[in-house]
Amino acid sequence: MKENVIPVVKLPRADIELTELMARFQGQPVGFQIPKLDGILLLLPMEDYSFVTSAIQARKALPVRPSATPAEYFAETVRVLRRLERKHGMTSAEFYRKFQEGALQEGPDDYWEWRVRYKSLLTMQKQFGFSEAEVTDA
Amino acid sequence: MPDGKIRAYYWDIFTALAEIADLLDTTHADYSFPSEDEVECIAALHANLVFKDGYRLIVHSWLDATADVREYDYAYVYLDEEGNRIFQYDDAPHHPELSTHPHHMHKGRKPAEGVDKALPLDVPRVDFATVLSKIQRLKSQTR
Repeated sequence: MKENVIPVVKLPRADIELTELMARFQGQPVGFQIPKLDGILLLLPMEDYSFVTSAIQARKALPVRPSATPAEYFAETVRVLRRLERKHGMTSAEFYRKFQEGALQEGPDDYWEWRVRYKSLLTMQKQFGFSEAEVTDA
Repeated sequence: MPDGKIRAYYWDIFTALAEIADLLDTTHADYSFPSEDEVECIAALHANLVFKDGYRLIVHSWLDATADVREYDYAYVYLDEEGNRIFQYDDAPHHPELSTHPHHMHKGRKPAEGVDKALPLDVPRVDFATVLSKIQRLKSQTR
């Protein structure tokens, strides 16, 4: 997709000519919210239509873990980090610094997860303003 | 707040994964892949792909979306049905002598002790789609 988000335009009535919409939005992916229509009518360039079709097929073909809220993902991240900190006897910040300096070997398999979970923690703190202190051990 | 770049990246890799759905054992208890909400929220990809031949791909990767989405602090570990490593890509900065530092790979079984020999990358860049393509190639060669 060229655009990350497809804009949705609310149409005031349902009897607007399709040719009028196409002339206005041709070449741009756009959704139309129409009164009395339960859903969004999409107008897509061909390449985006192929992508959307592939995405729908992928969603049907492959299972994914259930979604949660940002606060739940943050709490899970903190709990995983605390478990790893207890197991390896150092803070996540200390682990990350030592690992990146080469003071720790590639070693245990859970180092890979630890490294990424720590980066997620920092990302979520910056993006959502969450605090570790608010997370209790489950 | 998220700007949609990671979500778009997710759908690129998820559709790539769907293209090899016939190779995957998605009913296996260990099979695990995140939703787009998870990947966007935590800016990371944690997955355990189980293949029908018993092989597995374990993925941990952080997604940097400051410009185009790039994978960092990643590890892609591909194991056979007995858990022996086939290959591993990671960017731990432990091998500055390699031309592709910090990106490198390991091949074959991980030694129980001693040095786990690292090699320069054999692909131009490590990301989910590239590793998946490599596995697909390996499987088509052994069919």
